[in-house]
Amino acid sequence: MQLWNNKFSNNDLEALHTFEKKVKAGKGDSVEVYFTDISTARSIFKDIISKQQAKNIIADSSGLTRSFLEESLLDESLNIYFDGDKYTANAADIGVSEMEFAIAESGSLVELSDSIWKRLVSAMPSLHIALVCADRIAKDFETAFEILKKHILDVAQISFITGPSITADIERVLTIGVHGPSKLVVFFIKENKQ
Amino acid sequence: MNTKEFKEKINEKLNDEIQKKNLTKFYEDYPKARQKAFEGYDFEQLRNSVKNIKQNTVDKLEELADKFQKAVEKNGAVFYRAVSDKDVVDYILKLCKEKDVKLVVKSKSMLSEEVELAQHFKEAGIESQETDLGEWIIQIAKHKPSHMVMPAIHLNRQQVADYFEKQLGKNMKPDIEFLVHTARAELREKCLKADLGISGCNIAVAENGAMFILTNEGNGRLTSSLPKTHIVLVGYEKLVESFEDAIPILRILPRNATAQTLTSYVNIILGPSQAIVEHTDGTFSIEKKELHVILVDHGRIEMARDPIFKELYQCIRCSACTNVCPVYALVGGHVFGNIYTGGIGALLNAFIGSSQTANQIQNLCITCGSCTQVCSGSIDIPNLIIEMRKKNIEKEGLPTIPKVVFQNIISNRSLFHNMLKLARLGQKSFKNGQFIRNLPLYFSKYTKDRSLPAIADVPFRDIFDTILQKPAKNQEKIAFFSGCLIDFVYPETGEAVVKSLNALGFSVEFPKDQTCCGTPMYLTGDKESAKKVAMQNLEALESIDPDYIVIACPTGVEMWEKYPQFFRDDPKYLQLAQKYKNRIREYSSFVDEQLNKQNIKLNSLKNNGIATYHDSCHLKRVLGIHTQPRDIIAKAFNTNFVEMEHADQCCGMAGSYSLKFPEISKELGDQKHKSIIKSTANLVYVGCPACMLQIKGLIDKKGGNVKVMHIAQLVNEALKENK
Repeated sequence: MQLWNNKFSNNDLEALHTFEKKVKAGKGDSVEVYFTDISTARSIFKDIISKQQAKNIIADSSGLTRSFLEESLLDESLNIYFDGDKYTANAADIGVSEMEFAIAESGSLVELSDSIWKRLVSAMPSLHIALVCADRIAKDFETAFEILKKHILDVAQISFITGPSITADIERVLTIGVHGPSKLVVFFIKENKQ
Repeated sequence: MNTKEFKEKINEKLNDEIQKKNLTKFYEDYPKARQKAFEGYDFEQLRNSVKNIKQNTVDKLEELADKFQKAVEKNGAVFYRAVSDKDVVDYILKLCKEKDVKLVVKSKSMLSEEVELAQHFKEAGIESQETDLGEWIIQIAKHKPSHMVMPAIHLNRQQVADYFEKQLGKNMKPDIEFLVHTARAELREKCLKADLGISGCNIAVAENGAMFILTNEGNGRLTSSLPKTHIVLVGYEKLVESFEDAIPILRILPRNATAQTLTSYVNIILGPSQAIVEHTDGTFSIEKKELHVILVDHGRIEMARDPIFKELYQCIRCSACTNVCPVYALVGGHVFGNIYTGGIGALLNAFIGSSQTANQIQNLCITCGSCTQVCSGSIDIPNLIIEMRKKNIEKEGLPTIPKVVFQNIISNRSLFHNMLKLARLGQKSFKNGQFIRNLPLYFSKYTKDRSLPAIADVPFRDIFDTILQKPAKNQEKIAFFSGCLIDFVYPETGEAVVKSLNALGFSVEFPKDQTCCGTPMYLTGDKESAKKVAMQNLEALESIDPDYIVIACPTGVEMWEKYPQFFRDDPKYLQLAQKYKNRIREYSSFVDEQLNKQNIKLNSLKNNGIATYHDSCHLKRVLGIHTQPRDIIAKAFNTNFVEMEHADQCCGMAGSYSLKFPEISKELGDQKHKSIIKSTANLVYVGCPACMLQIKGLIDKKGGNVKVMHIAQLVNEALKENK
């Protein structure tokens, strides 16, 4: 099921800029944000894979994610898992999953994570690739909560993801990647208008 | 802890160079970062929303708790209400037994600290693992959290490396990134193996049972996702009525806690989701998760029913109060607090923690009011601390010395004033110029770092009649209420007040029957003695029925404004107290208003040198007066007026505080002294005689070519040649 309600759809560049500014604030280069079509996103992803020397990828099985991974699935040097146990998730280098929508005000991604696997995809690997349909940016919390409230009874868990896993527990020095990803790459995928 | 041990602990912490360094840096960095985080938001409006949301929680507590229970059960979770700390522990241990739990992973929960869960797990032979990095560090160091948001802020990387080395039996280098990654590997293993996850909860929504968990590290997601069973600990104060009530909390909590827009992760749990269960044959299955929600009372219901302390429900544990507390910055959360840290910690402990500790640590609050400026829920922490002191006095009575002083001496005006006059004679052998440099007995520590002023040879009350006043242009009659310090220590300030007000066209009277305003008694909780002097003062003023009562001491103003509270059952005095409450004027704001209204120019005092201004805590944060004195100084000094660093940080005086905790007072005094010297000013103006006492003493003891004066002395001098 989907949370997003089309009445909120927009192609608001200002909202996108706010999102980018907020999600990156104070986190250095641990967050990357792209606003692009799916084929460009795939090629950026390819570069990331080779740079990271990634072997194991875990992913949710949404249509957008599967389509995004089309080319990677043909690459025999990669193991891509659409489900598995905790240890499979733990061993992965990269997690790829679709986010329901984004919130500009706070720079957050809203993950509908009833599925335990989907949650592990964004929580366990060192690198998380988040895919969002480009027109799904809610302006602020009020809008986001209006969307969420309509569907609240159908979902057991929702997460707002706002950057990588960080800590400042030792001498208040910001350190990235303590429990979850040390890098978050967000792709806003523009629809291909043919 | 007895008083002696407590004092030793304070000294130990004051000398803990590592903690001091970490806390000082944070204390310096935080205000700027916080301000930046709130850009584009109206903080006052946000915190007003939080306040209203939580007041609603208090008003409808039982109703919301029932609603929450119904929603949680409807969502498919098991719900349990725990009355005591023992209930919480028993429930969890019983569940562990049923599920044959061997390893528990915990994400941060103050409530679990409050009920000492870790200790109980240990006794039951169950391994429990903190997953928040800071919590894990203090777990292996066997410390208590020293800060609510950053529990290990008292340690540095070397110490953490040493603790890790001891715990893991591996060589560690004091490199933060390395340490964090070591923790990641270690804690990941535990999360994968754990049978049970426990977490706290920041917001619990009554209408739909949603529970919000905010973390930066992502450990909240792992502990709620990986183990088959998850327990959420929810305090009653976390309840809010509607889902949207979470919005202002999400906006204010991360900004106030760590100057972030939002924590990296916000988990909203609405019911049991799925769990992955591995089987011994290597296969796995997806099963329904078991979710338990424990709603915990442990003193919270009593807190909601208390007409005064129910305000504590407005606390969302952001710890901004602690982050700006000058005393916390000096001694840290192991002295100033117990699990819940700082002034708010003392208050919370009185209800939901260790009440004995609460009584001890509340004394450390210097009531400077810095915390009230940043509190997410608009809680007046210093005022609640004073209420708590009063409550304790009602319960246990005053200690002997203040009791004798307050009830037998100060509340008898002629005796009190005669004693002060006698004290002037008694001080002769200790006196050196304007200061007493050494005093016997327990005063000795007090004078070690700051000279005490000498009691003036002639008190202001005996000087007043010798002041020649010009005929008034203005019909309105002013009575000057001096307060004890101006009367007996700084009569020259009193003179300046009267002469400057006269120069502004007023005739000033000084009703001789006025006495102590009552602050010392009120602050220590002796309401009866405070009431007695209030009656004397009201009668003294009524004899001349002035249009304004001008007071050049912020605590005096505050006290007068509180007089009506004393006479709720006494219509005669209540009417008087209310009448005069409206006629009280604080000196500097009154003068600034008159200068502007009458369009009077001050003469330039630029030739006197460079002037700076120290904000009194009470003048700035309680009365909200800080622009007016600056306006006055700027009028006389123009470009020769400079701001010192941290102008509004407490000077360390705080009435009898400097007697109770001379060590802390000294540290704050040192900092103020440094700021003054650094400002290059040779004149420091203040609007508060108590601050004047402290700062004059600091300069006398620590040196510096600086003159400290009350702002009235500036006004008087700058109006003189206008004659």
